Amino acid sequence: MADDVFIAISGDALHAKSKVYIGRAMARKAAEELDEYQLWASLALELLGKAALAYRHPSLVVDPTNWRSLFVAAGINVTTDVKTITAKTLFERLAHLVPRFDPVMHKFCMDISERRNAELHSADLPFRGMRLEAWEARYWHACDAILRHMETSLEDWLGADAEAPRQIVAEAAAASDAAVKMRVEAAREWFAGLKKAEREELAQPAGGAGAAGRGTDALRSDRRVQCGI
Amino acid sequence: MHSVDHSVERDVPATGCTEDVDRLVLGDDLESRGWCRIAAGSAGEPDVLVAVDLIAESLGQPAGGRAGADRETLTPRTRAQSHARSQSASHGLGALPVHVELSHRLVPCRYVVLGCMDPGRPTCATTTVEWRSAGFTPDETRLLKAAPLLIRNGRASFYSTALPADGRFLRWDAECVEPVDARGREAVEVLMRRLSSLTAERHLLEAGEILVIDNWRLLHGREAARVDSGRRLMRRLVHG
Repeated sequence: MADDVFIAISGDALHAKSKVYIGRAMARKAAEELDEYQLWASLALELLGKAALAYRHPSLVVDPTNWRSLFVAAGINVTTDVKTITAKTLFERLAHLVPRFDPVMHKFCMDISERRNAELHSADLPFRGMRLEAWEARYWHACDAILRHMETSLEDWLGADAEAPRQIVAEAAAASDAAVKMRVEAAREWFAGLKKAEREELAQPAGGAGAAGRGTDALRSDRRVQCGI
Repeated sequence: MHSVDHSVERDVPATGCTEDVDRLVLGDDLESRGWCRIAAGSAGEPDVLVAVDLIAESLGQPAGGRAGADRETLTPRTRAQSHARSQSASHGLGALPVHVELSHRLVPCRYVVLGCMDPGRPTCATTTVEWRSAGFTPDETRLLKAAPLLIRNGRASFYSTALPADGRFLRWDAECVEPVDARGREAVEVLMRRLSSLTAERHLLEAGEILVIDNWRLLHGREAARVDSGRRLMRRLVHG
């Protein structure tokens, strides 16, 4: 029963925590502490992804090799030490759950997750050397894909409502803009990767006459799903 | 907060047989106003306890109160006598502000069942307000669904929102719900302002009466009490 979900793997609690963490990320950005901005942002992304999985079912975020955690996900509380999935497993699972979570997005999320691990667990400073332009737009693109799947938005996640501070509203607008541009770019790359005949067919006007037109529309619809737009 | 006396009581005539508690009458009253009052077989404590158990079991599964206790006896307590982070620890014998029971759980319990064993002398009223009557604007509702709040419960603390996405219940108890950012502070300010504008219903229970509260629909509190009044209520919390 959904109401019995353990806190550690509750979709609602994971979603709320991701909002707190992205709020901390934005505060670090405002203070121009860009390495900490990326650190909090990477943590927020992972929580957001786990929230998306947990909303579908809590068992999707527990370590499948830990039977006690699986029992907890099934509503049988045999331990309070619930083990959750690694970032690698998380992003692999998101690729199955979120249609727009394509291989490019997957690789970006793995990269930021590996930088986060190196930042926290080694003497390396991988976030220090990262320029904003190298990650921020792709970051918002990934978050936007997950949030849309959850039937919410970047604006809601960042708290950019009518009463929000102007800076947050501006950041949310910029994030949304970056996400849209990345979405167009991803579609452009996907289109360029098609065979010439497929590109020509998709380039035909929508709703063409007769059976051929209906076939093209079906292909178009199918392809839109494939490229996640 | 304003208040009105609620002398209209939906009594089930005392029959001396608590099995006669009518589930349909209970359901109708809970449906129409979010609470109902029922007379136990007699004003005697054993009949009250049996009636509380029967009603709680007819409503659903026990939710468990402090330390998982199924049944809790409530008496007025001073701050020094109270459990840490309880309403009484903050307000002592003063009026306990309206709150949602078990706001510190992922999902608050659905029903609160209070059986009056002794109303106390002087007595004091249990108060209720209906949060959907607070007139939250669409923007305020969006804020309450979006703003993250810290729900303090020791090692079981977590982040959540005042309203879940489906708006089926409100989470509010000033003892355990805290803002963590500007958005949260605004949400708490909205909640306190709107709830304080509501007129509370007063429920002056007599010995042998059971008050059932729909905890997802109503917040409840208590007026100021005296420690030596002898007021004693049996409480059971129930998942719907």
